[in-house]
Amino acid sequence: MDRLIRGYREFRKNRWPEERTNYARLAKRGQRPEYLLIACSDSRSDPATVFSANPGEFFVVRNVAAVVPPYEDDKGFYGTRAAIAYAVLALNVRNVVVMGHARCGGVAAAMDSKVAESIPFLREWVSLLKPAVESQIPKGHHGHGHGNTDAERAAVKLSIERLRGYPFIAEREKSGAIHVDGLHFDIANGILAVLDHDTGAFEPVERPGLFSRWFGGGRRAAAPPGIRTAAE
Amino acid sequence: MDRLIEGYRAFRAGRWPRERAQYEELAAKGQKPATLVIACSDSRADPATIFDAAPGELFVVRNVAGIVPPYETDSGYHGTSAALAFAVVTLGVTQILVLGHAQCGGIAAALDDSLTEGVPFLGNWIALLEPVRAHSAHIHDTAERHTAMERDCVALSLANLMTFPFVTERVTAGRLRLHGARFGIADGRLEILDRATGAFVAVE
Repeated sequence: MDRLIRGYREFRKNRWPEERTNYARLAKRGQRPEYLLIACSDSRSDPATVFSANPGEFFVVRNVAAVVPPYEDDKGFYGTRAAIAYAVLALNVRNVVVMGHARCGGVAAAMDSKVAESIPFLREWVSLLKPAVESQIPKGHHGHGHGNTDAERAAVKLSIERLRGYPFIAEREKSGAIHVDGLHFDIANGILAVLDHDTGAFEPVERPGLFSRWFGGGRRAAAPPGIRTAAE
Repeated sequence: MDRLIEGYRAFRAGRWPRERAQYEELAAKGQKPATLVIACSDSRADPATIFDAAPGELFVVRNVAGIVPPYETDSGYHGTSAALAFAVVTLGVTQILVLGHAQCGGIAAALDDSLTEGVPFLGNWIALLEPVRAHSAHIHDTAERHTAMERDCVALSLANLMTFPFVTERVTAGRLRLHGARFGIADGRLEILDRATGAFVAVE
């Protein structure tokens, strides 16, 4: 507990004085986050850190591998689904974002049944990722959490697909009231990649979106003067 | 997405250069967090912020109200239970902190059924707090009852943790410690559960 108390004292010394009016206001009028973030529990992939969060900005669900269970499921899995429903219907978030990450132990466990074999509940939970990882296994990258990038990204896409199976999300996405997005954070090099919905590819933020913006499907008209697109 | 990209750029310019060696090492060696935190999804009670966490320190589960369900192999509250098992059995964390907070919407929903109406799954999840609701039934002041329930919710999750055989075993052997705390959003105060007396005591 000492480490936590020391960290709390740092918070009180540094951030609290800067943010106290923010916190006081948020306590008084309630939270109104614009984002629901669904992320992994992994200690190396903290969304508040990666997105420099201020208090009140992000409503955050964290579970193993950032899994979104299917809307229709009789096996329970209430925790994540209840949080999604609460964020969308009670808090009216405008964005729902799923963030996967490199070296994900949950995805590794989904790919190699030996990993979760003796861990209660885990095998069942990561089996929710089966449709995403099955196509990846023949490539031979599995077991240790390295080189699973394709499977990790497929898992994010699966979670997004499932979010769109929640009627209240599908409805709001259609009317433009909600945006659904996917991200992959590489803990080894700090690169954040964003799912391009048109191509299905993940584009790193660092290469400032050049390829997706200028050459990406359906957006060629946005090419700046003097830049030849692939189509030309 | 703009806000996220902007925040990410601030991270890349600020923390990343300072912590890059740590991330590289954590990527190469794997994570070995000492602490599992089970906290609420609430945007005002972020554990990494409150505990000034460095990368690799906290394995974090966040759900509505920061609830740990009881060990029940057939009930289907598996998300949190799976994360708990992964943290304790696979990663070998040495402590678990259950973190509650003031103004918790999950607690409000446990007190007022109308708040779960029209919100699928929430009622099923919040039903786990039934013992907490019953325990505070004698408190008539709503604000007071709300606070009591926030604290009781932490105590309930700690009790539920002890229903998991792999938790009990390690606690008994002295290899795992359980803690409870509650964060006051309005005043920024952290209070820690003294498990001997059952009272929450403010830090400082």
